[in-house]
Amino acid sequence: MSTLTKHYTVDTHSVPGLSETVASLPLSLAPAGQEPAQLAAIAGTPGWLERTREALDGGALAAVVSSPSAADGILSLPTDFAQRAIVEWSFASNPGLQTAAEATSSLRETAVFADIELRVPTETNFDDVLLDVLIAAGRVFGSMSPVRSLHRDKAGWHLASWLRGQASDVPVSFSIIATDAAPATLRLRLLTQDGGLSASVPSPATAEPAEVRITGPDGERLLPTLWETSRRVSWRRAVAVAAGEAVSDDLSELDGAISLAPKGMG
Amino acid sequence: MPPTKRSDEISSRIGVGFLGAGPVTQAIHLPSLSRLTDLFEVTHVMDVDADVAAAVASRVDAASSTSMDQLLGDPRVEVVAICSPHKFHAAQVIAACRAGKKAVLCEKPFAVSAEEAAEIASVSAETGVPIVVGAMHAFDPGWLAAEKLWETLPETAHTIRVSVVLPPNARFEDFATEVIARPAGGWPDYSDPEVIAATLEGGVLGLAIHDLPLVRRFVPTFDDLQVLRAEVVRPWGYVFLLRAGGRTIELSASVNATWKPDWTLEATGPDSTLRVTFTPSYVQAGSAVAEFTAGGLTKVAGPFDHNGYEGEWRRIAGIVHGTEEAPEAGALIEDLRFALVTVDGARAHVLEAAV
Ligand SMILES: NC(=O)c1ccc[n+]([C@@H]2O[C@H](COP(=O)([O-])OP(=O)(O)OC[C@H]3O[C@@H](n4cnc5c(N)ncnc54)[C@H](O)[C@@H]3O)[C@@H](O)[C@H]2O)c1
Repeated sequence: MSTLTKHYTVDTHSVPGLSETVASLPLSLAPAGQEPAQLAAIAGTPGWLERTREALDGGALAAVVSSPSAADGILSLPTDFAQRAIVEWSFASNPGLQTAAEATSSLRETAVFADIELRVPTETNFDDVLLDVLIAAGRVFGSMSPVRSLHRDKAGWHLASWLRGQASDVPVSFSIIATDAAPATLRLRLLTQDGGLSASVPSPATAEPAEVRITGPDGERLLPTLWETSRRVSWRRAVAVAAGEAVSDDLSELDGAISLAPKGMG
Repeated sequence: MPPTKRSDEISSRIGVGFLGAGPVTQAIHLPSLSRLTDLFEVTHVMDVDADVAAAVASRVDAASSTSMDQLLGDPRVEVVAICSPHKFHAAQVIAACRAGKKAVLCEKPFAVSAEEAAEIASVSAETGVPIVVGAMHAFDPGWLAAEKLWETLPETAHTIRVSVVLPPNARFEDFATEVIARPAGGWPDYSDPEVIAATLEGGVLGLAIHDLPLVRRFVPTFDDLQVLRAEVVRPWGYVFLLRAGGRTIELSASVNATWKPDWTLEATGPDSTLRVTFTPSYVQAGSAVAEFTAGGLTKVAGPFDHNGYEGEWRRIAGIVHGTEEAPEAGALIEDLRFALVTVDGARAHVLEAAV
């Protein structure tokens, strides 16, 4: 934010639970009144792409799309619009995951195995959460070959891929597991020839930091992480985009993840 | 345990004879037995290498020989521990049963084919000699505590996952080389599907086998076992995805240059989840830790003061003294069959993918 008095309006009714986030960023955000909101909140259910286009067409400075479903034609959105669309993921947007992504770029070359596991409540529609997993994996593991579905039933979904650009095959394993034993969590590991990275990302309902650890020959390090929910981080990014301080690349990342996902999902 | 021993107690100690005195005898069993001197006494050590047999025997003040018959004929040998290479296990188990010993501890795997397993089953039934297979995790107090915590999880679990990360260990290299000749100074040629299949077989029979009996507790049947993924993890390791009895089973292992081992089994159902964290192999003191979570509440058991290596021997003492039940031979055979079906499925999967 460039000035303390400047704030952007948000329609807090369009996405459940949003008023909390707006209240927690009182200098940046304010609930919209009768006027159209300056920052659009878009639920990621089918049709989100059209709703995003309409909102930006109608004058919104930025749009935050929460957990979008797979969609066609994402890249047909004009660049100016795409750069102002922020995607909010329950897990992949966790600030700890960003930390993990930055830390792994130097580890990928020596990777030997990667896995990622999302535990979700029973009755979750796995199609609704796969893209979050693929985005998180892409951010931390890097480029992957198309993801194959190995087994799916109501208890879980198991998928497989390989890291790309490695001298030899590095298997990647994905699992989505349905259980009500404990709140949702995402765990991932990138094992290397002499250590690796592991991350445990808590449910988006909590601001509790993700735990991200790097293990190498000298020992293990817990990386600094922030107490902030993925939603609050995403809205702060929207404020930066609206203020012209940043541009978003989230939609092309999403399009990439959709093209990796097994056909017929969504 | 009494701190001092009277002479009548010493004479009541159970005499143990070893067939094979390699690293497992030296680094696993002798240290475990050194903690149980009130229960056991090593009386005879046999190895085909006379120097090894003599050197190891002298450390425990036991007789040594290079002949199995000599060891089996020694009346001071009441329990036979089989720690020779895999391929000798079945014949030695059978000979020990026929020699009328009180119990047999056989290192995993106790056979390498279904035919051998069936033969063992019939000899065990005929002679009534109890057999314990050295799958130490099954005897770990942390695992035994998990059994008490897990409520209905064996019936409800839908996903079972075992993940092993181990620092380099000459023993694991041997698993890889036992079945294939390792080219001098390098790792196997993983571009050859035959080499991949052989490596995966070494992985199942050498490493995954430790936990397959535990996994099977959550898998009611495996006649329908399907291998959905079977790949090597470099430089040595594996990743398997299996379906059996309506369960999904993921097994992964990575033996790399890390200093940080991790050996975890998880079983998850709709309402509860179990996680058991084991110590690395060759570690003597201290057990696994079990965590059982249901309704957001976690119960933790362990670590306890000893682990599964010592647990095996305590179980054998109980069996010999008649205070504990011997494992059912049929269950041991099923455990082995589970491993062999996985090996066969993995081989077919790898060779099919190659065409
Ligand atoms: N429980 C565990 O944690 C664990 C760990 C590693 C290995 N193991 C198992 O233990 C067994 C032994 O492992 P190891 O690493 O000591 O094996 P090894 O092959 O290094 O040593 C076995 C010893 O047996 C001797 N030997 C060879 N042929 C023999 C025969 N016909 N009769 C008697 N002795 C013979 C060899 O001279 C050697 O000294 C293997 O089956 C292995 O799978 C168990």
